[in-house]
Amino acid sequence: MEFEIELGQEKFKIEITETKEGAKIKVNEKEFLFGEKDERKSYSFSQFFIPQKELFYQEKIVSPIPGEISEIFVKEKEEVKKGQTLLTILAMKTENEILAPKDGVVEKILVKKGEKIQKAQELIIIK
Amino acid sequence: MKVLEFDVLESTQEKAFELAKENFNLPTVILAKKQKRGVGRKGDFWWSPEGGLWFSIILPKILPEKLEIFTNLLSFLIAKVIFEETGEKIYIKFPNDLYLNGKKIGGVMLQNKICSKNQVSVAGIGINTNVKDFPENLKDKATSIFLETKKEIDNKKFLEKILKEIEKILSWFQEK
Repeated sequence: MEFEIELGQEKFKIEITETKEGAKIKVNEKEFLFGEKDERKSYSFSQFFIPQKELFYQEKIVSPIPGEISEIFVKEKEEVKKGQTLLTILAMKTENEILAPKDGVVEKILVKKGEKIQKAQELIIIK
Repeated sequence: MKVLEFDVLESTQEKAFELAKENFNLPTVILAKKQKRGVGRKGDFWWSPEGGLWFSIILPKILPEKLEIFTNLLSFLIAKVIFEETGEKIYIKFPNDLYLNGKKIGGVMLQNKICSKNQVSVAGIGINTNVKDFPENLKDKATSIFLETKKEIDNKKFLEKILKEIEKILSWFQEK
């Protein structure tokens, strides 16, 4: 079963599949497993979302390509808008602008200007 | 390739990114007769009055790893078209700049914006084809095909030739 829900400005894609052990719930590509040993057979959305909220609203931005951080345009604790340029990665002589995937606050900047980075390296956490 | 033509734009790159949000068939070309704030690599100002050939191409998805080769090939293809049309040999200062008789006559740039799994890549191309005059501070550094050869270039035909060359190589770059 697949469906989408909207909470505030966030959209979540939910995918529920039954497994031998119980149920697998995928929320925006993150998996949550529920085993049959757990006695609760049903979960309301509030039970499901509230304990996970912190984790859920945090988004780690990873580098799509190896390269060098050529510029960082934001600071920690700064509010950012979806689509705003966070930093640029110079890779193969091309400037790659990395944009904020959602509105939020810059929780942590994990790289420095001039730093060489690997593909899939974590760059910035947005909350 | 679909070509959207404008009389004046701030910059074709800027317009291309704005229009990339719409669902055009890609590649789509944004062409302007004149740019008020044409940009070169690293955001440098590019003098782009009427007479030159100023355009940007919103590209289909190309793997970031292949973008450098694509930019290099763009410089080659443009140099090839200029040679075929005018007989003039172009010097390429890798990866982006095109020179004729020691002065800059054009440039290629590639901007890539990545937001989660979405990527928009826009190639910007500027060629001083029929530019008749340059500001004082550029006169020593820049020239145009017209000033060097005294031949007027048919910008439309020139663009068509370049786009045809790009189409030939594009399928190799597209993500399978």
